[in-house]
Amino acid sequence: MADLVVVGAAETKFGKLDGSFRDLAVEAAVAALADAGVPASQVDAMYLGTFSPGTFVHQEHPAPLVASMLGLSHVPTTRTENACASGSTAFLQGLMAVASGMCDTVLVIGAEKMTSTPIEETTQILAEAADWESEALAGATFPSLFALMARRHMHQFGTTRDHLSAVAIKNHHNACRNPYAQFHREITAGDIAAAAMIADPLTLYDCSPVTDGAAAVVITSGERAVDLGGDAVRVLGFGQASDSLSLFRREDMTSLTAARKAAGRAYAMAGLNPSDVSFAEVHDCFTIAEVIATEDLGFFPHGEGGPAAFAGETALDGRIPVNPSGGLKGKGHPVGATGVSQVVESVFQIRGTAGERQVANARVGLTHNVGGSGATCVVTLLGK
Amino acid sequence: MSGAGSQLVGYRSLAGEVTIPVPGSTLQNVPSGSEPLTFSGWGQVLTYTVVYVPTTRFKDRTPYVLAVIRLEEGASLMGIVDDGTVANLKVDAEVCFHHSDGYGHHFTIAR
Repeated sequence: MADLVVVGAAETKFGKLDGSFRDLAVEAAVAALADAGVPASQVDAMYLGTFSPGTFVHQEHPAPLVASMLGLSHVPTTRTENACASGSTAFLQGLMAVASGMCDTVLVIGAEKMTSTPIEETTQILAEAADWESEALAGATFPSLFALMARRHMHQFGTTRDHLSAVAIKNHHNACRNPYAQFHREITAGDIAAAAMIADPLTLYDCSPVTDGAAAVVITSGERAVDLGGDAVRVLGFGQASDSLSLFRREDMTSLTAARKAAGRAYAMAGLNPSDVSFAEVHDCFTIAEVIATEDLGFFPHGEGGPAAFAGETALDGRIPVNPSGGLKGKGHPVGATGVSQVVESVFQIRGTAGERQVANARVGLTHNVGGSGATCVVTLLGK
Repeated sequence: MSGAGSQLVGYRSLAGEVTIPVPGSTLQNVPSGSEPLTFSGWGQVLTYTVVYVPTTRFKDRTPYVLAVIRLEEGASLMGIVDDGTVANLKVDAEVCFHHSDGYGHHFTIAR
């Protein structure tokens, strides 16, 4: 594959923030360009991943808006939307723009402003990323779709409440070591069991929060990166796949076929295996989603992700650290920003600048970003 | 299509996908060339949940039991089990169609 590198990476603090959608996007982008040492005048194209600014903040057509605020001079700008995988989809579009030779340097931003709407309205906006006519109109919410997967996983493999809780406890623990994270509070199994039920068996602490935030990266060729002289991180491989939008149409509700396909493509492109991965940033929108992700990515056999999490194999000092950033669960989940933020965290880890949450010997990082209940998945592999 | 007290009906598209439309959805406009289907209404629960935090549309109806149900003819759909609870519903339980309305397809546990 083409020699593609990330030369700049940055993100805003995640949480309930005062800044507007456009302010957050610009803050992340300016910081990423500064990290890269690339002036706005040298950006050839911009991709903005965002899920639903039209409903969250009544702003459609956001890409040229953000580009003009950044002073990008009439470059092509494109907004990508693939539900919670909108950000990673933007990243892949940027990679392909550079790989094709059409662009030398591309700016990729992910952003979402979610906390301005009441929770039931937010629940409904998110449900619009499911099959609206066959699922949402029939009563489905996003937590309920993952609760349906959790119940089936429990039935089929004996996954337990304790297994799911181990994911939430770990990710809150990691988030306490991440200054960008929404939550800086350790939680216990007791907290999780006592929390409000959202969609049985998932309680509040099984669910990622509603979050504002943005992240950005600058992509260029390996050749140009040498001229820039920064601390570049190589893109080793990537893959994207799709599946039925409707959970009920899938043969297996305990695995995401799109994730297995996307991961297979990324591993093949990189010439790597799951055992080569030093750490992973996975899409833990709900605790069960991380369990399933660690199985789909080949870290554990199908059905054994829960016991592995409970045994500490995915902890910061475990066999395969998962979500050192705190993940969506602890760091926060500003939908369109999440996929780009996973890349940003991977860059920090591979550079060795992740501070208290630094994974030892972090050479190869994997990102796994899911849209909907698994209809879209993007997997990337990054390293030196 | 499906209405209160009626049979559970749907169609198979030319591409082979089975659709069982919820009343009020645009999917009730059957594509030309589709094969009309009528189901017995008997099915098996593949998985279920109890929804406590709903969308705006369902805000006055919580909690409700949402299930993925495989009909005996082989098609699956999302349904609400009106008499289901965490205590009395199990994966693999048999359910029977009761009616469809603007709030989905409603089933009851087979006795």
